[in-house]
Amino acid sequence: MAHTPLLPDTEPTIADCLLKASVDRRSFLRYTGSAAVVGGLLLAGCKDDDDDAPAPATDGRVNLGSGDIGVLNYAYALEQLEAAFYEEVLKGSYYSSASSAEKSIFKDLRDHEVIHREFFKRALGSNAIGSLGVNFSSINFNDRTSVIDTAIAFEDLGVSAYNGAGKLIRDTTYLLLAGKIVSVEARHAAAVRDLKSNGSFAATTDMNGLDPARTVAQVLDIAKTYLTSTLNADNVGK
Amino acid sequence: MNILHILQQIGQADPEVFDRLDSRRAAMRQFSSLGKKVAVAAVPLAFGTMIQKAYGGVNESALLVLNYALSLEHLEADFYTRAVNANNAPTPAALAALTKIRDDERAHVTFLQNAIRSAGGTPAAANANGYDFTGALGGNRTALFPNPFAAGNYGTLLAIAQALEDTGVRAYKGRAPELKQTDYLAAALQIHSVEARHAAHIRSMRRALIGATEPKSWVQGATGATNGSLPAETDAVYGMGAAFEALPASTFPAETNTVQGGVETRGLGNVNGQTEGANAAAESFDEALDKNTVLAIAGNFIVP
Repeated sequence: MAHTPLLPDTEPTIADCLLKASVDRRSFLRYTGSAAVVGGLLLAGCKDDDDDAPAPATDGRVNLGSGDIGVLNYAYALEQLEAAFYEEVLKGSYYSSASSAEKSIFKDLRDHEVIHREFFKRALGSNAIGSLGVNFSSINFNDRTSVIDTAIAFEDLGVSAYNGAGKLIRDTTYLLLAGKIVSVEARHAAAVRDLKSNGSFAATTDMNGLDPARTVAQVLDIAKTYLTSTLNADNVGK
Repeated sequence: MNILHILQQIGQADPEVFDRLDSRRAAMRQFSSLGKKVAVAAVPLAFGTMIQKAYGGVNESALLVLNYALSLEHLEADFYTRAVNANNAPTPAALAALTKIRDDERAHVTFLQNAIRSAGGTPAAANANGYDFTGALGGNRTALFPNPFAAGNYGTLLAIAQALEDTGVRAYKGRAPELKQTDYLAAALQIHSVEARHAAHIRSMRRALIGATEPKSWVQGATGATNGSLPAETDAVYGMGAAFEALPASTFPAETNTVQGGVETRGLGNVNGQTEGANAAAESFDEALDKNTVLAIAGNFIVP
């Protein structure tokens, strides 16, 4: 398996290594807590050998891969979409004639999403999917409402995607990275929501004060409108 | 129900069943006896719950995290309840925003209380002696801030609100590893993103208050000063944390950090004809903060 340049700061825990063995993952995690020592098992310096590099597509779909690699490629796909969107926003006439406050916001959104995209590309290395084709024909980049409505949709979608994907992640380093990104996406979402209607920054919450979490399938069903490729997410997180 | 038989069956699958049920070996020894006479009175009334807690549902580690979150939500709920009651916001929109945040924090308290109870735990109570948001610990030391709820101190109110929200975001992140691969992680993430929304809006309220471009809605640097001229007392909110259990201190860098998973992120935005902003890389990732550093920050407001 190709080596990914992503270097976990922490050694895999004994619990992580045992996941690779025949122990049923869910029942094991329930009773071992965070730093389990079971019997006299030795830590054998295990690696994430069960995360496969995405197989070449044979059905026309872009394969996101399995396990944690699948989750990272899933995030990479969404960041590609957002980055491409903001790159187009910066070329449109809404942006060029926008107030300095709104220009500042959209410039930062573009910077952040491009950095996210390029980060995943480097972190995934040879496990990364390619550049996805996008379809923004439904968006009018010269119109403030169209741009802001789309930004809200993308940012809220991204937040719900990370919120739903978090529990699929097995590696602590990857989990922390996803966590570091999702709160920035939520700050983005709040900012663009307030541009449309000041005070709507958290109108997404349910009666428990919780933001939505969407499954991979739900997210890709929404995102597919904007992608020219079809993604194979069958094994993401599995 | 033949408890002895059940335990023997479980013991065949899991030799450590007795440790799991109760680490006090003596308490469980009665059940390991092969004798047929086990005193009825020795049977714990909550045997079913014991098994449930040992093998099903959430583990103790997750309960600790949920109660940690609940403690912070109690503090925030109190802050915003008093902020709304003080009614010093300059506009209806500002009051509406504080009210929305208050309602969210209260909902988080209720949600976490219910989650903890249904997991067999006891929800942490709000601090018995309340919270003092001047930082004077109820008069036990010199105040850090003016009273944020007094008329004329609305700017201080927003400054403390920003510090609290940005701390909350970092706090949830710092405990996420302990909830790895559980449904509790999903719930924690769903609260965490709402706190980030709050943080962003409070920052926009601070911009509106003085007609400035700072602070941005995202975290810009490792001090209060770089996050919209907050006083130095708030530096800990943006600084580096400390090692926590298996996680080294490098897990909790200051908010100026730009190295993510071994990848230097500065410069990644210089592509396709655009030059990234000076702080774009640091802004793009919010950093986690460890439990002890968070509790030290919160402790500034918890009256002993």
